[in-house]
Amino acid sequence: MPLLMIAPNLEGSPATVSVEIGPGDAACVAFEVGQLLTIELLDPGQIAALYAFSDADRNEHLSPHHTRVFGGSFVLRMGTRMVTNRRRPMFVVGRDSLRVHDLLLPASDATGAAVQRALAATVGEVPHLPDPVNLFADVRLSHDGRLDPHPAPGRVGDRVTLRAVMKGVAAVAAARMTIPELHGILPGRLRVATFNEVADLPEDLPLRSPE
Amino acid sequence: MAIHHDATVPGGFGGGWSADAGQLITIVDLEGQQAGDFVAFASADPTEWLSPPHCREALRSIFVRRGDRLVSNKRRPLLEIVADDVGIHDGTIPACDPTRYSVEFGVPGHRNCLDNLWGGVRDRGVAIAAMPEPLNLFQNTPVVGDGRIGLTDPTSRPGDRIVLRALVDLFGALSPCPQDIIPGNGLLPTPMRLVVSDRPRHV
Repeated sequence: MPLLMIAPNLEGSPATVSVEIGPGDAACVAFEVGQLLTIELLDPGQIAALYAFSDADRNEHLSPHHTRVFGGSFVLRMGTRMVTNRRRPMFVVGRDSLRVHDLLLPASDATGAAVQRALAATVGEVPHLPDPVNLFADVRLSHDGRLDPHPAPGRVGDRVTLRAVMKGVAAVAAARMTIPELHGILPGRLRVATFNEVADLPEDLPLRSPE
Repeated sequence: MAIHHDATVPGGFGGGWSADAGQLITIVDLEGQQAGDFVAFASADPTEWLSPPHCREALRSIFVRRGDRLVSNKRRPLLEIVADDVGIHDGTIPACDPTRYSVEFGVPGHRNCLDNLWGGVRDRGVAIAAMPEPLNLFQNTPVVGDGRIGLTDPTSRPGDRIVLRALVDLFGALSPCPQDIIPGNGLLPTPMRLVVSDRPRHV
């Protein structure tokens, strides 16, 4: 069964992984074209800093800045194509039980250091650590440009599912942001996993009711 | 009044500059409706640069205004906005680059801000892969609708300027954006002037 409806898969299904990330830590997960990458909260109120790099060239990386322009939106939505710094799609947001994310803020120094350690231990140092996509971070943008941070609202089991359309490696941190208002509770854990079949995905939580 | 640097950068091209701590950097939109991509690096350490994402974090806003201190990726103030005729600037749109034109518009080989900016700082040891997000002076990127990005032209008029004070020794580059396909520069890239001086320069 091919991962995507393009051609028979003669090489068999790629390996899948599931990694738990402790508070403040980071881990790397490889992904293939067509695989599903999930980032899930194991504790409430957490933020996941997502980085990803192309296998073909580590200078090509997921870029929240280019993703905003490509989608014409400051906000990450279902169906958003998440593109690289070379404007090529790397992921598409396929499922999202929370729908509250940030594409504007940088990582804290501690989160950046944790990601660099995780990368160095797995795929080696990258030429340039970009800015992350801050999954589950609640940063509200007003029409006057004001950014209003709120405590991350994620529940245990909230999950983002990304369809990979490029081969690469993701580095995910259970992030601590510099703005304290973004964190309501103690640091917690995340799970990052890859899947080959939609049927293998866990059931998503129902969407939260609007405030 | 000492003038340390005074250059007119043609529309769609780029130019480098340097300024010591305390000096003023004046950027003038000579013909109006021109966005200028602007990058700055700490002279003592080119791995420290003006960072719009960190400015957003510090200012709690995606926009910058007169009086704001603009910070680096190491959260240190590098520049202060001391005068501003326009009050509309952008720090959210990446520099246009070869793929902006080849992938999104089917126009390979178009001049672009990334190459323009890098051309102004490459001699200082900055790798193109490490070029930071620019501050886009006079670029008009409103928040519209449900978090959408507005696509429109700058409101700047001929002769409008912004004046930045260097808080540490800096070098950098300016690229009057070559975008002539979609709104952003009135469809016609035009020149900008960059002056580094000890006091405000009246042009």
